[in-house]
Amino acid sequence: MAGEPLFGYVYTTDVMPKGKTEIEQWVTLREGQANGHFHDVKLRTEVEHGITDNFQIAGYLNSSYISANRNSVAGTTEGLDIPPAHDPARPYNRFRFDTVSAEMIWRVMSPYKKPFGLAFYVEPEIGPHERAIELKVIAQKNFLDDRLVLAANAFVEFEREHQDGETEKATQLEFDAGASYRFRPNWSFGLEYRNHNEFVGYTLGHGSQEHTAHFVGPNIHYANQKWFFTLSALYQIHAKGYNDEQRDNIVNGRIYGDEHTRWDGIRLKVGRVF
Amino acid sequence: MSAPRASLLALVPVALVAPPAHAATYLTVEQAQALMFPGETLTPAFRTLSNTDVVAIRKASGVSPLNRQLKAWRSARGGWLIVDQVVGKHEYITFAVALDASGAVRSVEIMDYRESYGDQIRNPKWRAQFAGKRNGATLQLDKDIKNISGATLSCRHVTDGVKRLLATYNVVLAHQG
Repeated sequence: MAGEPLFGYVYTTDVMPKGKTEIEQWVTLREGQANGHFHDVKLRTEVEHGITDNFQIAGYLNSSYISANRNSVAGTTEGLDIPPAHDPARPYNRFRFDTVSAEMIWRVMSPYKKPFGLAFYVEPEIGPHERAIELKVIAQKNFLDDRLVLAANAFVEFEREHQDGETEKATQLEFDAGASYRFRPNWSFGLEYRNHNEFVGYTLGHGSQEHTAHFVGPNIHYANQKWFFTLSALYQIHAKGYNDEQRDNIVNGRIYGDEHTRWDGIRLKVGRVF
Repeated sequence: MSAPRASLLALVPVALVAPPAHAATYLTVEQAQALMFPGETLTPAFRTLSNTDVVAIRKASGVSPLNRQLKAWRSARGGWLIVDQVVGKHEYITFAVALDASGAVRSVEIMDYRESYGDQIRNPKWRAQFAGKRNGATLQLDKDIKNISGATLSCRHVTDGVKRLLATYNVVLAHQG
């Protein structure tokens, strides 16, 4: 995360000052699919450190717990992060270590000195079942003595997943935006929005696009001299599939299948500054 | 109500009643008075800024007052001490500005600072940049005031705060007998 996070998903251009370190624990609940029950709890433990006042690095450990039963549109147990070899007639429960990842953020313009802030982000990720690299552009504009923060991100992620002998290559393109207002000392409240687009293979052509999905929700953030937390809850409001397989996974305008949940997601971040 | 929605709403009352983090106070008002006007008697000259004052201050400095209550003291030799606040990263930064009888900055002190980092603004060399500044001075980071990398938000807000108080002096205090 870029310094202390105002948002659950949207990044700001803030980075750790030189020599400063921060530890964050994320818990993300991706909750509810078309039927039955589906709980996907993702855990992320992060250490970030300021190399210079405009360049920070971070390392993550990522793991997840999934509990699903008859979650798919067809009423079977299959889909998001459930191995293809799993018997769809039976419930699925597992905890696993997913990946380790690194993050580098280079801020080229500070919103406190320039008309807006601008930063670039890269995150390589590797694990037993997945390899990915994410490239992101972060923009930020502040108002009202920096108490109102508007931020927007655009990122592309190339990923390769391998499960039960099957390998999938995919590209994700996402546009995120948020607004956060500090309504009293230490406390901020905001809204954030995500538009997630999935493509087959490593191309961004419309012909290879699988779906687009939109999420929106509130967040609240508290921070003092040493501690902070951020809680956000994003709800899937609309999705569109671009092939029959994707359209088959849409119920009431929301897409499930291999990609999304109804609440996607509810994220808590707790951190400490050193 | 679903569990996720209930858990989120449960935080709202906590946000409204939870106290701010413990303050780090470096100077009380009395200590600031003794440090910035040693041996001088200071007389309270508090004011409530009018709408006209606020507009004039904003026009002159480009910065709106956070509070209409102006906490100012006048020294026996004609100088002024003003204690005010600016927005910090998480909380307010309380600072004091001492002006001589002609309205030039004598000194700036940081009284309360309770942020995770950026307390380099308490560095005497950084604060000394304000000495001699008058209403109308540029007072802008990387121009006539050097920034401290890693403390940019605090540097900018304190700089804006000093500029605002110099305009406040000019609008409200300078013409008092």
